[in-house]
Amino acid sequence: MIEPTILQYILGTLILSTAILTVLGKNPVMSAMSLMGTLFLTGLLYFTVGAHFVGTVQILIYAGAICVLLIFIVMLLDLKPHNVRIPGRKPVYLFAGGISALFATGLVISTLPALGTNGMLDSGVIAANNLVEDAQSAKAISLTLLSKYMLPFQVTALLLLAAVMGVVVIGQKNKLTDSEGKGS
Amino acid sequence: MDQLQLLTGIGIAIFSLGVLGFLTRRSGIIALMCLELMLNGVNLCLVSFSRQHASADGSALVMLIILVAAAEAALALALFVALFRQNGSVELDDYRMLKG
Repeated sequence: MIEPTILQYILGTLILSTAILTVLGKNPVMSAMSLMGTLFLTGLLYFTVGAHFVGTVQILIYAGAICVLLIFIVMLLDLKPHNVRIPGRKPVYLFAGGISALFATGLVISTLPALGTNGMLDSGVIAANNLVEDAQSAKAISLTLLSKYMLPFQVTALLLLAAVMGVVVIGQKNKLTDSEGKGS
Repeated sequence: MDQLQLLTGIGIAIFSLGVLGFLTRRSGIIALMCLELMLNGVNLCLVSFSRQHASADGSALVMLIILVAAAEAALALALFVALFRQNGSVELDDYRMLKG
């Protein structure tokens, strides 16, 4: 059993607060910035538990690429805070709060006891046997990805190709609707 | 508390926050951000489990999830730009043409 370090507690608090800012922020730019903070800090949290390769990919792709794309689109569409409507209906909040609380309690009940010493591996034991750095290295991850998960990997390549084609089709101007909608 | 319990707890909290935001926010782009938050929570849990079992399976899955998230974000943002060009709004309440 390894106690979390102070740094991990601080990172966890920051991650949770930026995530709350993302969900509750009125300004979409603020939300996107907080999301970038959440993803970046999560990458740092990966570093503190020895998952260096995952942390690097997280910061490069998630915080680097996806968030920049999000901020770019938010600024391109010029979404202002007063354009963002907040629903005033109470039942929505009750329903949503109930669903997410259900998810949270269910997940906590099902996972947290199993992560202790109840018959499962313990992070202290693994660290003592020096297995962690091995399993989280870029070499081990790539070997797993390219042998055991070869089919999902190839399917993901197909998915990316399909996504690129879909974005091109969606992004080009639709000649039919444009010529019809010229007068209106 | 173990390190991995902290990681899993943060992952679960982020996932639940994402669910909450996805169900309450009516702006399409913020709903997309909440979707990314949910995926991020799942990633945290997967890294924690992968480290617990000292195997690389969970981390390999995280790579696949990040790829899928990138594709999904690009497609969704292109959709929102197209919708905005058509109607000048990305509010999800304005798009109810599939509702009977």
